[in-house]
Amino acid sequence: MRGQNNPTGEYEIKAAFLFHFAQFVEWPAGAFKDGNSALTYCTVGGDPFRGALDDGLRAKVIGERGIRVEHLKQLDAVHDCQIVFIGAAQSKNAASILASVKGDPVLTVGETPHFAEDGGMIGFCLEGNKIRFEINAGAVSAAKLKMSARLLTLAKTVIGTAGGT
Amino acid sequence: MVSYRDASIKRKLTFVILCACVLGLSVTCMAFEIYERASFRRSMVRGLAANADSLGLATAASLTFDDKKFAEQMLSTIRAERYVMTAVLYDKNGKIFAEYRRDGLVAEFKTPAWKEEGTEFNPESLTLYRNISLGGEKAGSIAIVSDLSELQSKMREYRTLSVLVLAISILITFVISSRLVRLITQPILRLAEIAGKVSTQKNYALRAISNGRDEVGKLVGAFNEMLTGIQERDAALQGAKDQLEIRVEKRTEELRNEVKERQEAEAAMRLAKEAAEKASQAKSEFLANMSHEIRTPLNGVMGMTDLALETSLTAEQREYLETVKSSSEALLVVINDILDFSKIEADRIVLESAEFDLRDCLESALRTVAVRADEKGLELLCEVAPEVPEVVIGDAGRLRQVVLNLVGNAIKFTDAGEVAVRVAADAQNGAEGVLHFTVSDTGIGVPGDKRETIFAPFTQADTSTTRKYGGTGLGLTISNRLVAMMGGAMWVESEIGKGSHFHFTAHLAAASAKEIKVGMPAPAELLRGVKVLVVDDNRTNRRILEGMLKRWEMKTFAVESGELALGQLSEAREAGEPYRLIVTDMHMPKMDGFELVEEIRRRPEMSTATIMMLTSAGHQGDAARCKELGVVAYLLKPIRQSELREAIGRVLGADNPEGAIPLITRYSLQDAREPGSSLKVLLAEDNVVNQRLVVRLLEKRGHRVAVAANGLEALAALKKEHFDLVLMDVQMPEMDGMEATAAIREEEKSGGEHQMIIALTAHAMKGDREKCLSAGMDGYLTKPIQPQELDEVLEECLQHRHAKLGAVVGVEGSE
Repeated sequence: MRGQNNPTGEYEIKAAFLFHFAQFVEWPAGAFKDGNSALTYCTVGGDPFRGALDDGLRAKVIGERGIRVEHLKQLDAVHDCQIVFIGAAQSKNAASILASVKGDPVLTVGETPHFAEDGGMIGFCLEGNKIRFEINAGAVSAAKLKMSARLLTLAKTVIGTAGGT
Repeated sequence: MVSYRDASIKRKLTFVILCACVLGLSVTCMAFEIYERASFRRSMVRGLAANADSLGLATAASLTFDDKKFAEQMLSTIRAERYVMTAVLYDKNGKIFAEYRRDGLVAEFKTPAWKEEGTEFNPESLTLYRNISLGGEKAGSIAIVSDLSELQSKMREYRTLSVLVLAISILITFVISSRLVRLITQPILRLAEIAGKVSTQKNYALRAISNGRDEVGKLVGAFNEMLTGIQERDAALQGAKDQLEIRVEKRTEELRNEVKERQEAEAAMRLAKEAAEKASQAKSEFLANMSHEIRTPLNGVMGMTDLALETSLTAEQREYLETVKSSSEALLVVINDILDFSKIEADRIVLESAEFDLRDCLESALRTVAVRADEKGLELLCEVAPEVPEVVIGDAGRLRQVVLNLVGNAIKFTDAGEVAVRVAADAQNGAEGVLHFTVSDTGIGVPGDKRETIFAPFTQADTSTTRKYGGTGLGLTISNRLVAMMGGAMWVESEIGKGSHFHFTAHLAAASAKEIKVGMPAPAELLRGVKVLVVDDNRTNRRILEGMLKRWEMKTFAVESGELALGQLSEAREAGEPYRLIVTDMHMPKMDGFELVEEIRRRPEMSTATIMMLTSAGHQGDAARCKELGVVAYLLKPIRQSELREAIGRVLGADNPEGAIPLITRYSLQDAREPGSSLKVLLAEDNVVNQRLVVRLLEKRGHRVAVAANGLEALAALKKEHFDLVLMDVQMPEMDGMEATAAIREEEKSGGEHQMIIALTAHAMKGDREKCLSAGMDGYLTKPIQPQELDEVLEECLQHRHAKLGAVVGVEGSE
């Protein structure tokens, strides 16, 4: 997907989408250290956004929480994150990362094909020139996250049901 | 508006109530409608806002994730709301993101651009703008446009309902009000009905019934009071009227009586007037008859006395006869005066209007009294101002009568001095044709208190005057009246002992410049520039003479005495301009005319001038003395202008210088004027005494006379031979003078020359002169015939014949 030369910037749009996903998702109370802790976005294996995520989320809030972006080198650190983006470069590690956060209230977003089918929660895909996304509602509910129906209605494909494990 | 004003109260009230009802309901309906509209709009806005909010919520995610398709799907869910025309979704930047348009919406309908959040009402639509936020951030915005069809249909329904309500309300109001109104109108109508009855039947006993204490009730009360008042006044008025009628009746009766009395008085007056008029008529008739009856014998007395006086008589006989003559003359004057006066009283005098020579008239009049003046040693003068016209129009006879009366009085009341007659144009009045006559004397004068009364009848200055001077005292009265008839006035200025000035004015218009002058006036060139010396002691006389001579452009010089004349003559001789003519008065103090002439004859070198003598009265032997002294003319004063001119012409025109021509006197002037001065006269007169008298008078003057006893004889005589003059008595048996004259004139119509006819009449009344003239006579003489008057007629006849002959001479060469 890097090879694609998008004028608006593919990763700028994806960064915005990442921000908006947080708006339609509710984390359980135990997901945060305390009420004031910031919502933490994490990337694994470098920064595929090349700073666009940091720029797009700077000074923004979700509800009453601030936002923090962390670019993780090590996979074990993902447990402290609320949203984890697994870039295309980490496709080989995706399965292991997903497995490591399984059961944790962490929203997983990826860009590799069939990401949602393979156990990820939201996977970016392209529909023509437009960036769309697929949702694995089962994975979402398994992680004890509540996703707004409005987001679900906008997904290209929804796998599983919200009530399933 | 007018018809509304005339409408009944009931209708007006109903109308007012209905108006109020309609107005109130209309306002209420309108208020409700406005409120309904507002609340409906509010609910519309609320509905739209709810829709917008739910749509916003539904589309917020699609906006954030840029999902147009989904957004359009969501927008189209509003299709269920039929009134939504369009719904538009904008992105954060206000750009249209997605749109829904109702099916069948016209292409022209433009999708609204983003505005601020709020609502916008247009006549046709309502637009609602709302922001959409997501997570506290603005995600975009939405606009929904709704049409107002629902509002309009709702309003229509509402209006229909309003009209229905209004109509029902009006109907109900009308029914109720028309019943309620009756409550108010009924009493008023009843009152109006009563009032109408009162005014048509004049029955003030009627009363309106009051049933209430409201305004109408009060009105009814007041109306009833008014009726009571009128009723009372009516009664009072009727009483007054009855009284008045009685009074009028009484007064009418009185007036009727008065009128009756007056009519009776009028009738009595009319009777009295008629009686008086009859008496007056009788008096006039009587006077006329008396006049005739007195004049005829008086004519005989006077004429015969004249004739007797011309026979040889003893001194005693002559004295008796002179007394008879003067007595009869006085009697004649009295009779004439009385007749004139009664004519004036009866308004029977009609003034004649004919042309006559004023100077001739005055001069001939004065000549008749010249002798009397001379007898008293008075100077008698006549001066006519140059501006006075020669020929005037008026009644010469009456003018002469007035002048003679005044002059006669002047002579009567003057013992010494002069009597002068002056005529001038009346400068004071400035009126054309008014002449001012003055008769001045140096007599006893008229006392101041009598100056007014002397013009009243039967009055002289006092009765003693009458005794001393005689006379009827009617002369001035008559003159005064005559002057008034001539359009003038008479007044007197006088100073006791110094004399009187009797003035009168008369309207005598100048006649056209027709020459009446007859005779043979001297040609103007003969007189022009001749030097004349006038000698007269009387200043007025000098002035008169000078005036006459200057008119003929002679060079005159006047002196007042013989001595001065002599001096003037020698002066002129020395200057080389001797006088060619001397005109001297005879009576002068110190040196009289004869003495002057004697003096001149004594010194022949002094003057060779021709001498003419003027005298007031001829005396026996005067003529002889004149001849002896070589005086060429001896003329009686007052001298006639024409006579003087003729005489001067004659003496200056004579070829032989002196003594060769016979002495010129008035008679010689006449003789010289008419070589054959004998006239052939026909006298028609039935009275033998008068026949003899007139024949004698005529024969004495050298005329031949034939006598006819009546008109028929006169006509016969005229057929046989020619007469120069016919003297025609008016009253004759068989055929009177009038008839005869008419016959003669009738004859003349078929060719033949004009026969001169002079009437002789004893009738001095009833416009005899007019009667005579209208009968065709040329003039008239009143009996008793005065020689003077006869002479004038004869002279006129001679002139007439002379003129006629003169005209014929050119053709036939001789008579």
